Amino acid sequence: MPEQGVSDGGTDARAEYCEFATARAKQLFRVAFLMCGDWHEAEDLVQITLAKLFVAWNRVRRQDSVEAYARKVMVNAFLSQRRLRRSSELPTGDLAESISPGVDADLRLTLVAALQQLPPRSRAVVVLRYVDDHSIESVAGLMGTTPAAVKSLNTRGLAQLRELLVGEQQELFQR
Amino acid sequence: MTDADAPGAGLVTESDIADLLERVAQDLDPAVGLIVAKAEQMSRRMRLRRRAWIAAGCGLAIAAAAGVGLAGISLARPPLTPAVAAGSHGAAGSHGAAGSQGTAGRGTASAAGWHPPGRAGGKSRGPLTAVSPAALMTRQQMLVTLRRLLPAGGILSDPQTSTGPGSLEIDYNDGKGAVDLRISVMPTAAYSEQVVDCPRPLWTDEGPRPAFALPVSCTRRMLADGSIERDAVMYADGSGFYGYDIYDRRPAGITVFIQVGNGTDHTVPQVDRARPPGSMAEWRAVAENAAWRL
Repeated sequence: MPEQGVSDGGTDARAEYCEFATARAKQLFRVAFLMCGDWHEAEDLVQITLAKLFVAWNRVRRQDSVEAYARKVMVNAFLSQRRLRRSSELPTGDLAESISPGVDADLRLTLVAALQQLPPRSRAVVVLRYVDDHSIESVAGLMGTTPAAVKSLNTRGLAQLRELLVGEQQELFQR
Repeated sequence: MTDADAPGAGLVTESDIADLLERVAQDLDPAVGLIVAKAEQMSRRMRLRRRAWIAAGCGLAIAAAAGVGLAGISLARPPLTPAVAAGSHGAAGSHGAAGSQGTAGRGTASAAGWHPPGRAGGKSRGPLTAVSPAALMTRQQMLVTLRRLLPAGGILSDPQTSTGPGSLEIDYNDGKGAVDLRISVMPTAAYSEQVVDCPRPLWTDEGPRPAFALPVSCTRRMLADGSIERDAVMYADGSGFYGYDIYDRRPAGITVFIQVGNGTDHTVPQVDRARPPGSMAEWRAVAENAAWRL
């Protein structure tokens, strides 16, 4: 069955979509950036997410699941890209070039570099849990897996992050 | 026991990590307006592509798509062998697709009198209204055929696995940059009548057309064997992505569709050349080749 997108739903649907996209793009970007560690790739992920949402808008909005749909599309796109590019993952030492300067640039570099060392699924779980405030059950729904699997990925991801960050502890937490 | 209390947690707690992530996230300030605008451009393109691409399979109830794979075919192919190309492109230009094989090149009505072996004297089956997916060419068969029709020196790589029987999407690099190449060979009944028509006025670009790009055009013609062919240089989308679109609707009830872009199109278009590889005439010759069949 063809998707029912914004252009099938008239100006109200379009206005609703634009409102949602404009309001949520920044948060989607934050999630995307911390998952992929690259500014331009994060922009691509958000564009893909919003574009797919645009195409499916009428169906999705009727089901009152816009937020979940957007997250699901983004996580799937991220994991799919990781599968395609896993042989060409950037080493952490090269990340600096792709990160724009900011107030807390050192902190960001350190954290993003640590996140990049987590396996993609663990990274996605940690970011969804702590940046996007999803419960274990919600993340399981988004990733199409069980809460037990998410809990396990979360625990392992956190443990790995602790190990990676413990050496930076003083610098990170005295800001 | 929470993650924060886990053995070996040291002084970095779950709460510390959550705070760090939050601080970093809050500091990110992307160009939201630009992202939303690009997303809308991309979505329009998705819809256009879906119409052009998925429509080919709508009437076919292709259920076996997932079972058709390219296992065993190397993705990173070496250049095509000169021996293969030499037998296929006697009169080809630099790109070499034109005049492909002995069974190809049906010519326009003005070149009447020439008929491809195996088609001119055979009975037309007439338009097909239904076909089993098993009757369509597999991706592997299409890939083998395509390799025979392309000139030496090119590289085919990264075939998409989401296409079903009768369809192939792959990257093609003629040495000047990889581009997206799509081919479908379907019963004519799977397409609307309008796909071989040229719109008036012609399409307008959605985004900046690359410098030195070919202009938008569309030509419909009848070939000597009764086929109707429409070739078009398409409009550029928001990424500057455009290319050749060729439909060859044959009397036997088969339509061959070829789309050749000016860049790759995996997750997002990557445009790095002004023009698609080869000429329209060369790709028309590929589309017209009798090797494409149901």
